[in-house]
Parts: sequence; structure tokens; C-alpha cells
Amino acid sequence: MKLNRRNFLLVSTAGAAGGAVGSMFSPLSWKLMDDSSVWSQNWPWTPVPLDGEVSFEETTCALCPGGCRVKVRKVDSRPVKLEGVDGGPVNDGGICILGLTALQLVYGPARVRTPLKRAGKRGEGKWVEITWDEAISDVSEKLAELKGAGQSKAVGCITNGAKGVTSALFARFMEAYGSPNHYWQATAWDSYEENIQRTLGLNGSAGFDLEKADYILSFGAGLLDGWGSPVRMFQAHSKWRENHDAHVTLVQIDAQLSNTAAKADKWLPINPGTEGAVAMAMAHVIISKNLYDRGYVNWSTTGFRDFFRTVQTEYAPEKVAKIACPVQKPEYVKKWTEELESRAIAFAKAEKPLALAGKGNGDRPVSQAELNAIQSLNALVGSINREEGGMVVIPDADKYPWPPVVLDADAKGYKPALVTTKGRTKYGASNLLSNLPKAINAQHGGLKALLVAGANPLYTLADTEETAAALQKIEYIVSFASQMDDTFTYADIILPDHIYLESTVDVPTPPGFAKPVYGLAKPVIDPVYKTKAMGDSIIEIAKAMGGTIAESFPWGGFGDAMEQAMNEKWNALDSDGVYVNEDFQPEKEGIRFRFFARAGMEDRISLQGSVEKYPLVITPCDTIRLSTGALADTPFMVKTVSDTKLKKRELVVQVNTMTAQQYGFKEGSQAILETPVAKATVLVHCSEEIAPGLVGVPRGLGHIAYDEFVGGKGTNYNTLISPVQDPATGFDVAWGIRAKLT
Amino acid sequence: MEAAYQKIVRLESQLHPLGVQRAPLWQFVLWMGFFGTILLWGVYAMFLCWFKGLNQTNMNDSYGFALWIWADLGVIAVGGGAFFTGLLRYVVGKDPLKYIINYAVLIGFICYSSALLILAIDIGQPLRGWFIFWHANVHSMLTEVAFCLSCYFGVLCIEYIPLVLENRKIDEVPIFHHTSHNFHEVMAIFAATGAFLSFFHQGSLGGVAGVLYGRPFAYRPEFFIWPTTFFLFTWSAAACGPCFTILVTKITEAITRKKLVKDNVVELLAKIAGWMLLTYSIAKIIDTLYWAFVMLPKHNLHVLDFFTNQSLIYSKLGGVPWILVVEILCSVIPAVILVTKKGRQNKPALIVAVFLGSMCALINRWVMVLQVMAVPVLTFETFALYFPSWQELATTILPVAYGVLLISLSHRYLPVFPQERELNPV
Amino acid sequence: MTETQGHGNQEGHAPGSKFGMVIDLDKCTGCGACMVACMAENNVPTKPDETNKLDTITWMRVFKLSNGKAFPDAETCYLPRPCMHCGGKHDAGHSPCVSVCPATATDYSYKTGIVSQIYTRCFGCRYCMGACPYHARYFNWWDPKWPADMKNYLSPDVSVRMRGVVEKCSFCFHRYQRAMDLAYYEERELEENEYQTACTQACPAGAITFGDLNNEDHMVYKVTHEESEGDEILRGRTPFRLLEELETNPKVYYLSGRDWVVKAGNASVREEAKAVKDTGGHH
Repeated sequence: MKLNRRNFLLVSTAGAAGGAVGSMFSPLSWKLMDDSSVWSQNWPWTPVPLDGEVSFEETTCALCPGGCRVKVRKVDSRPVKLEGVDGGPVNDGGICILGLTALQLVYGPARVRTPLKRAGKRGEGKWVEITWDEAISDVSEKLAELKGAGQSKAVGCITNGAKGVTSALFARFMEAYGSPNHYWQATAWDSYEENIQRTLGLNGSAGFDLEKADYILSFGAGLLDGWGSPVRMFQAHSKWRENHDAHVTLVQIDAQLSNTAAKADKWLPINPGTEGAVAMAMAHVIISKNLYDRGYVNWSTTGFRDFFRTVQTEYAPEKVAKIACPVQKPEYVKKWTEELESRAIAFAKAEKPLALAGKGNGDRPVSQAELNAIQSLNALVGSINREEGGMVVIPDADKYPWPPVVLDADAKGYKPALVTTKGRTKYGASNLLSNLPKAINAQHGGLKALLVAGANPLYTLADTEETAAALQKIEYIVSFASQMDDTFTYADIILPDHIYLESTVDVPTPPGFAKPVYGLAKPVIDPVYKTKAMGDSIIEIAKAMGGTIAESFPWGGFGDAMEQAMNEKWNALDSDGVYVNEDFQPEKEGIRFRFFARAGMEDRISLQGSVEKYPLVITPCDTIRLSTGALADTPFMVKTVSDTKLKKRELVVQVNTMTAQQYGFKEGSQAILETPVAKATVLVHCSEEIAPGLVGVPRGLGHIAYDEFVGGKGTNYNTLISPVQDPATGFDVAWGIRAKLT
Repeated sequence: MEAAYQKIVRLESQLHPLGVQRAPLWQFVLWMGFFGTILLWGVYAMFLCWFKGLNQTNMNDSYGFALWIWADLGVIAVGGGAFFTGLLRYVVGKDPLKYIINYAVLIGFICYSSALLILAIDIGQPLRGWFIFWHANVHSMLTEVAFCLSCYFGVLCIEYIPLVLENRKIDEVPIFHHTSHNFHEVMAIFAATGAFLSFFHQGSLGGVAGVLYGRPFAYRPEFFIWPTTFFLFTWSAAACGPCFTILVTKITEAITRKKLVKDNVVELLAKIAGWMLLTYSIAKIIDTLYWAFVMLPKHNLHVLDFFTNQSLIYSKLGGVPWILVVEILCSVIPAVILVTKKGRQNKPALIVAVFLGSMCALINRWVMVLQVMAVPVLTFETFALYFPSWQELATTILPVAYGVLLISLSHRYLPVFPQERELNPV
Repeated sequence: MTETQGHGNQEGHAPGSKFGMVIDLDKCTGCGACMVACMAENNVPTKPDETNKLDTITWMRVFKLSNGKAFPDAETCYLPRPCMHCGGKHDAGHSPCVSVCPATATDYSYKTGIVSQIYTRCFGCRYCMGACPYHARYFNWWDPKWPADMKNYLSPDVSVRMRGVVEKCSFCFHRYQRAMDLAYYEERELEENEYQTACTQACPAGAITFGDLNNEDHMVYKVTHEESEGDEILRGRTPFRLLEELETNPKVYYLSGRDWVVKAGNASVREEAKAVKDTGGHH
């Protein structure tokens, strides 16, 4: 064929077309292309969750004292989601950010899956897996050895509060064993309990009928930042907004624009630590303007005359403004004072006013001086035991109807607790955990063994260095933690607890509730790993020790002890998971509120550090997204933390723009935050939500251990401060510390 | 040893085009080795991106389009010299351009193959890239781009193949000789097809930004289904592409220390580019003014809302949107230079003009891609600032290295410049 | 198959459903429950460092708005932002993102008003992310990983994604499918409370209301049409949408009693916007 244009075109076209058609008919290229894309849609490392039958099971969330009723959505036997349960007295369908992510606690990398014994040195993180039998024997043998050597008082136990069957079992163990050293960390609710005893002469907890109140003065209480029962508070706040008949006013008296302050009708900014003084100033206004409830004051209170004198002479608003107003410019001070006065007047004139205390999420105690002042406001306006929208006292639960503890000679003898204090609390030394590290460090051979059951003192106690030194001095530490938490790193043996979804747990009346409400969690999933309920562990340890200790624990297991403890409430709890004492009436007969003259400013808790060396003041900030208690955030929760609180692994502190400029910092600058106790590298966020001269430090970060999601991020606020004792109770009421930023 | 080397040199020299001198082989090997190393660095970064994922870049959810997409759009814009010169030569009949068309095609080929390569790295699932053809969405500008770009790349291949077949040794094979000859005969069809395809994909790349009605910075009014940026992009590609062709030619002449194209050819292309730039400048300025003073005020927005002093590039110091001003100057200044004979014939002015002309397209693509991404729309979001990672830089320099290598090979072995022999008598 | 919804199909007859939301910003406390409920429901991954908010995947994201004033006049407001499921210009289904996807991996459903996302078809060109003015679309820059046994809590109702693809809020479409399956099986219409998104369900403040904007019995309809039956939610406020003037026709409406918050919803803060209806003279 001649190669001319025609032929060329013919050949090339035919060739190209033929080739194209040919390759289309050959499956190879299509298959390869399709296969490769299908492979990219089915990578072996991309999980394909198994399908199955969907079911829902209800239980009570026990991750915080809030007591929400939740349901777990299961696919076959696999839990995939937590949701709130509609109806119910606590949460009516709502659920919080921690409750929603509980499954990450079950399956996450920080979960402790079997009993562990320390291999290597403390802090090396080397563990060896042991069986439950080995674990129980190890602990019971060690404790028996100490008791045999007459060292029973050298054994300590830290629980997660005093309430609940598990804590009661541990307290019982300590009693039978013969040690006075059972401790827990006090919270603002403990402060309320102490105050109730002092001012009302009752043994009980504070309850607030917030849903029906119409004028709420919150002295730093983070009502929407985790205070009380968080979901209940969110729903109460929504109810306030929905209220057509009476406009509900929330006044937040707070050092920072917390989320609660942001949603309040009015944010009255104050210098941190002056809550009590501001309350007294408001009392001054109410009394001066004759707006107080004369009936209540005359018939149901004592000590008013002395109180009146103190308030009128010491707490005039102009005087208080000098220490409490955060901006000392004359025009602003005037405006601020006027605002304080008008709010006090509105509070007194409201139908159902209510004053609240409890800084941030309420897990830090408040001084009695401050509480006296704030409760005095409630007394002045007649909110105590008011029919609706007032403050009530929920009486302490009766002791569980368990058989009496069997005591041997050693246990019968009186032994002083390690912790002593000048203050006085209704639980003796027990709720003074904050004083334990110092006591241990000051002594020689204070504690030889420590049981840590549901608490995380290395994280939650002020002055982490002191706590660490104290833990280091204890030769045998047993942790019952379900997650590899901070205290876990100092333990010698771990007897891991279930997560509440796998266990039966009782949830006592949530803090702040206006009537007694009990919740019960029952297992909705089989235990995923080789863990055991703490209640069962302590019963088994007691039984293994034999003698009077074993006799004091006659139950087959934790479930039996629980059922006996719940008594008449058990049937309702067992079937519905919740028991409400609808007929509850607070005790009013003969109850008189005692005004204390020594309230407010006089006993103002001082800050550590000198002004010259440490010109700034640290004030902590709480949000619902950062858990500050024994249990750290879940990975999903940490994900929601703003980059104005945490950036990569560094804590971000909030500093007023003017203060930042003054010290030469820009947005995002790195700085060293130093307090008299410790120092940390931080980043600076320039904020208008905080007054000049303050450094806002987020609480809830700075965990060690845990996993890559939660551990090693930021700085623990507690590392930077040290405890300041409330002279009345001995509680740690430090509300900040002086600091410098360089 | 020495003898073997000499033999290789002699054999290799037989691959050179007739009647021209080429640099010593060892120099060439060193040159290729240097750029080959840069290429390998880019290839390494490319494999990192393919195997580890796009977290190897500094892109993020605000910056979905970043350096690569800018490089893509930029390289296609400056590669517009291929289609426009082809259109001028084969369809409009500007004969002198036949002395530069080969190089324009080669540059175009490099530019478009680079664009395809970068796209293969840039998408999150390269193995599914063909879904753009299989599950095509006719409403999307990118679909149009993908189809036309692929077809046009085919056209460029067809335009490049005859050049390859004209290698001295390959040409000795009769079938290849006849093939390349016949290709040349039918080239007009391909040039016309290429111009048609280019009109659409160059435009659609402009359409990519112009249709974003959720982003007031990018959105432009529509003529039928095409936003004004569609036409402006094609126009600027036609204007700036030839500038880039001239620029690369001048750089090549500087490196090879030879004159490769006669002045009249360059000046013809420069004149056309100049008039294109001038008309483009007018259109662009009108479009910008309409956008700034008619469209933006409807949303109560102001031009300076899209600029921030946090960033050097998007600075608004003194109340001037600097990058926008620079972009427009980069089309106005070269336009003014190139439309005048004196400007075209003044060597330094010509270089400045073609450089700024190329920059015009590159800055315009940057503004229409990266600034669009940087500017927040919601009032409570902030400007996202971005700096490429080394992997992005390496993979963007990869095509440049590849271009240098291919140009070097082509120049050494193929008769790219028909006038070279005449201008450089041996 | 008949439309159990009873509202016709997309072929030019009666309009289909238009699922949408009303979010009460005065109730929202910024607690973040909606964010994590969505993550738990939809198998959203988590990586060790999520502090770079520009590459963290949060289909529902809570923003913190500020009035820009200095202390002590600073005010803040939290604003949850899911995908807006934009109806696009003239509400005709030409959402900014749907129009631009080159592989039809995202599509607007005329039956539900929901913008879907097919992860296995998306090849990650990220054009849709550039088109979305709400930044509601997220890219898997990394291969999602579930360390330890976290795979066990993944739900089979939602595909687990691989790296290199875009994902976004789907208004919990899998819940719609399950609810519709049941309704179809029982030969009845879908009830308002049967199909609710995870975020709506989780919000402890009850700030989110979800439903069919085209169904006059649904609360979202009553609120967005400012009917008296919606008063318990409206409480005198005017619903507004983010970037309304760009004609994206988003399906998420917001309520706030604060003027500065309403203003912040526009593309420019200069626009005068009112939070509360002018009732003409008296309060």
C-alpha cells in the first residue's frame, strides 16, 4: 500500500478505532480500573461494623453524681450509642457530653482490662497481668500483714465522696479493719452540708427548687458549667427562658464570663474571692431599704441583730466596691455599685428569689464565711424552706440497715486520724483529704498502705507535687480505677472496676435536688474485660481476710449488699431504676436560721504569693466540656475543647487584652506561668471575657497517663496551687493564687 | 576507556539535529542529573502523599484548594500559548509563527502533563479519579475541565508526536518520516480542535471560581450558564500564554547562548499578546469594578473586607487591596509595552513585559483560588492562613524539573527551532 | 410504591418533605452534647490532636460568637452549626456544593430536602468544600483510626469512611431510613417524633427542633411560618438563617433575642438586623 495521505488517514483511523474498540471489549483494563477503585472503597483497615438486631436497654448513668436516666442502643450485644430516657425526674430525655461518650470509657485505650501488678519501678509504667484470685490475695495478705503487726491505722482509703453503697462498703471495711483513715475530697456541697449544720442545726444536704425560682443570684456557681446535676440545670435554664408568666432573671456574679454568665440576664463581674463581701453588700442594701422578709427574720432566725450591725457598718456597697469591683475607674465603680444595688433590690422584691454558691462546677469547697453571707441573703428574703423556688434541706440518708460491723479489739480501740485540723466538720477528718498529703509528708511513716477507690487524688488535690511526694511515701497503693488515670501511675496493684454499664451501681440524690431521688444502674452489657465491681472486690478482700472483717461482710456479693442497703426503695429501683420520694417535706418545725456576724469580708480567704513578685491572679474556669473530677474527659470530649483553652499539648490561658499588651504578649504568645507553687509553659489567649490583672486557667487538663487522646495535654490547674484551709472547716477553699507571666 | 567514551559521544551526536551544535555530553549529563535529582525529590514527596494521604500537605478544611490547585490553574494558563499560537498559525494563518509553534506546543505539552500529574496527587482517592468521567455531573465546571483537559492533552500529544518523529535518526525510518509529514498536513484540524477545547477548559477553570455563589469574593454575574470569569480566564490564557512562551524562549536562548527564534517572530507574537492583554485588562477592570461597586454592596460588603493585614499577600495597608492592584498592573504594564513597536523591540522592556504578563496569569489564579479559600464568609470565622508543606513544594517543583528535563531532551535531539540552524551557523 | 409521606414526589407534583431545624440560641448553653452525639451516632473518628480546628471533623460544630466589645461589656453566644442542606437558588435543589461536585457524589433529594454524600464515590477533589460558605464539609486528611477496641462501638447504620473523602452532616439520614421502613411496613405515615436527628435528641437544653418544613403539622413549620402555634418556641423572636442573602436557602433557622447575634448571621456585620419582631408600639 502506498503511504500517501489517504492511506495514512485510513490506516491510522482504522488502527485507532480498532484499538479503542478492541480494548473496550477486552475486560482487562476495565476490570483493573474498577478493581482498583473498589479496593480503595474496601480497605482492610477501614472497619465495617457488624449489623444485627437493634435493642434498647435503660440504666442510670453513674459517671457523675447527676443521676441521669440513659438508654444504651445495642446491635446484637454490642453497645453503639447512649441516649437520654424521656420522662423521669432528673433528665427527661436530656444527656450530657460525658454521658454520651461513655462507650469510649468502655473500649478506649486507657481502659484497664485485667488486674495488674506493678513490674519495675513506680512511674515506669510496667505492669504484669495477674488473675483476680492473685489480686485479691495480694491485697488481703498485705492488709492482714499490716494489721497483724499492729499497723491497722497505717492503712488509708480514699473513696469518691461519702455517699453511695460502694463508698459505704469501703468505710465499713475501714471500720472493721480498725483504721480511722477513710477520706474523700470535699466539694462545695460538703461546704453546704457544714453550713446547714451551723446555720440550721440540721444534718442534711442543700436542695434548691430552681425550676420554680424567679430571681436567681448565683455567686460564681457555674449553673451551666457542670454545677449540681448538669442536665437538670440545662433543663431548668430552658424552663426559665420559656416562662411566659413571670420573667425569670438569672444574675451571675462571677469573675469571668463563664458560659453561665454569658447566658445570664446580667453578669456582674467581680474580683475573684469577693463573693462573700458582695453578698454582704447586697444584704446591706436589702436591710437598708427595709426589703427583707420581716416575718421570716423575726420568727425563724437568730443572731440577726449582730449580723445587722456588722453588715451596716462594714459592708456598705461603696466600701465593698473598693475590693470587689474589677475596674477601679470612678465612673465604672459608680455604675457597678448602682447595678449591685438595683439587683439586690430586685432580688428582695421578687416573689421567689434564690441565692446560690459554689464556684464553677461546684467540686471545690467554699468558705463558711462566704456561705454564711450567701445563705444570709436567702434568709433575708425568706427562701429557706419556702413552698416554691426556695432552698430546702434534704436530710442525710439513714444508715443502711446492714448488720452491725463486727469489731475486734484492735478495731475497737480509738485511733486518731492522720489528718487533724483546727476546723470542725460533721464527718470528722474524713472529708479533709486535702490535708492528707501535708500530714503524710510531715510525718515519718504516716501511711503504709492506701486503697484508692473511685478517686484520683494525684489529679484532683491542690499542689500536685506535695501529693506525689506523699504517695511516694506510701509503700503499697491499691487502685480500683477503671481507666489508667494519674493516681494509677503510682499504684502497685490494680483491681479494675467495671464501667457502670457493666455493673449495679446506686446513684444517691444528685446534689442540689429539691427532693430525694435515688437512681440505680443495672448491667446492660456483659463485662467486656476481666474487671470487677469495686463493691465485689472489697467484699472478696474482706472475706479473704477472715475473722471479724469477714464477719462484717456477710453478703454473697455486692448486689446483695446493695439490695439490703436500698431497703424499701429496692423494688422501685429494681423495676424502674429510679425512686423519688414525692411526699418529701423538708423539716421546718422549730428550725431557725442562725445569722453569723463573722461573714463575708473578715475571713476572706487570702491568696498565696506577694503582689510584687506575683502581680497577676490566677482564677480557674470550668466548662462542662472539661471534666475536673476523678474521671478525665473522653476522647470525644477533648475534641470539643476550644483552641482558646488547649493548643496541641499546651494549656492556653485567658488574659485580658490590655494585660497581655502590658506584658508584651500577643495572641498565641508562649509564656511561662509561675506561681509560688509551680510553673508551666502556656500560651496566651487575649480575651475580653476576663478582667485585667487576672489569668484564667481552664481546669480539667494536664492529665498524665491515660491515652494519646487525653494524657499529656496542657497543665493541671491543681499543679499550680496549694491548699488554703478554711478556718471554720479545714476544707481547701483556695480560689486562686498569685502568679506571674513571663 | 577513553575510546569507549569517545565512541558514545560520537554515536550520541548522531541523534542531534543536522547542522547545529550541542553542548558536550558530559555537561548535558550533569545538567540532567541535577534536575533529575530535583525530580526524584518531587517523586519521593509524591509517593509520600499517595501512601500516607493528604495530611502530608498543609491543606485543611478551609484550604481545600491550595498550592497544587494554584499550580494546576497557573500552569494551564501559561500553557495557553500552545493553543493560541496554534490557532494563530493554523487557523488565522499567521505564518511566521511556525518558527515558534513547536516550542509553544512543547511548553503546552509539559504544562498539561504537569497539570494531570498534580491532579493525580491532589485528589484524595487517586484510584477513583476516573469517576469524574464515569459519574460525571454535567452541572459541574470541573467535569467540563476534566473532559476537555484530557481531550486537549490528547491533542497536544498528537501535536508533539511529529516533532519527536523528526529526530534525525527516527526520521530516517520511512514510515515515521511519512507519518510525521502527514501529521503536519492535518495539523490544522488538531489546532482548531485544540483551540476549541482550550476555549472551554480554560474558561471552565475560571468558572470553577465564578459559580461559587456561596462565596461573594469569587462569585460573578452569569451570561447564560457561564460566569464572567469563564471568559476572563480564556482571555488571560490567550494573552498570558504567549507571554510565557516568549519568556521561556528567551530563558532558553540565555542558557544555550544561542539565538533560536528571529526577532520578527517574537515581535509578532508579542504584538498579538499585547493587544490581547490590553483588551483583557479593559475587560478585567470592568468586571472588577462591577463586582466591587455593584455586586458587593448588595450584601453590604466592601472590597477591603476580603483583605487582611495579618497576611503579607492579602495586605490592605493604607486601604489598598494590594494583590488586586498588582494583578491588574501585571496586565496593564505589559499591555502598554507590547502594543508599541518601541516597547516590543526594546529587549529589557520585552523581558519585563513577558515576565509580568506570565505573572499576571499566575497571580490571577492565586487570587481566584487561594484568596477565595482564605476569606471567611461567616462573620464569626477568621481568615485562614496557609503556607505549603515541603511535600507540596517538592511536588510543585517536580513538574518544573520535569519540564526542564523534557525541554533539554527535546532541544538536544529534536528540531524544535526551525530557525536555529540559520541563526547559528557552525 | 406509594409515597407514605403523602406529599408527592419530585416529578413536578406536590412538594416532597423538606427536613429542617430551628435552633434556639437563647437556650443553647454551648455544652457540646450535640457535637458528641453526632460523633457517636455517625462513626466520626477522633485523632490524638484535635486542637487544629481547621482539620478536625465535627459534622455539628458549636461556634462561640462574641459581640466584639471590651470587658466588662463583652457578650458571647454559642451557635451550633450542622450542614445547612441548602436548597440553593430559588430552593430548586442547586445547593452550592451539589452543583459543583464533578462525580455526583453529593446530591439533593427532592423527596427529603437532604443533601446526601456518597463516601465510596467521592474521590476527594474538595471542590464542594470550597463551595460551601458554612464550612460544613470535612475532609479525611488522615485515615481514621479506632485504637484499642473502639471499633466495637461503631454503628452499622452509617458507613465508616476511609481517608481522602469528604463527609458531612446527613441530618441522620439513616434514622430516616429506619423510620420510613417501619412506617412503610405498618402502612402509615411518618410521625413527627419518629425521625429526629441525634443532635436534636441529645440536646439537654432542648434548643433544637427538627422536622419537616413542608408539613404544616410539624413544629418547625409553625415556627418558620411564624404561626401562633409556634409561639412557645418563637417567644416573640424572628427566625433568621445564616448568610440568608447569598440565596443558599439553608434549612437551619436560628432564634435569638439579641440583635448583635442576628447581625452576625449575615455576610456582613454592617447589615441592620432585628432579633425581635416590631410589634408596633407596645411591649
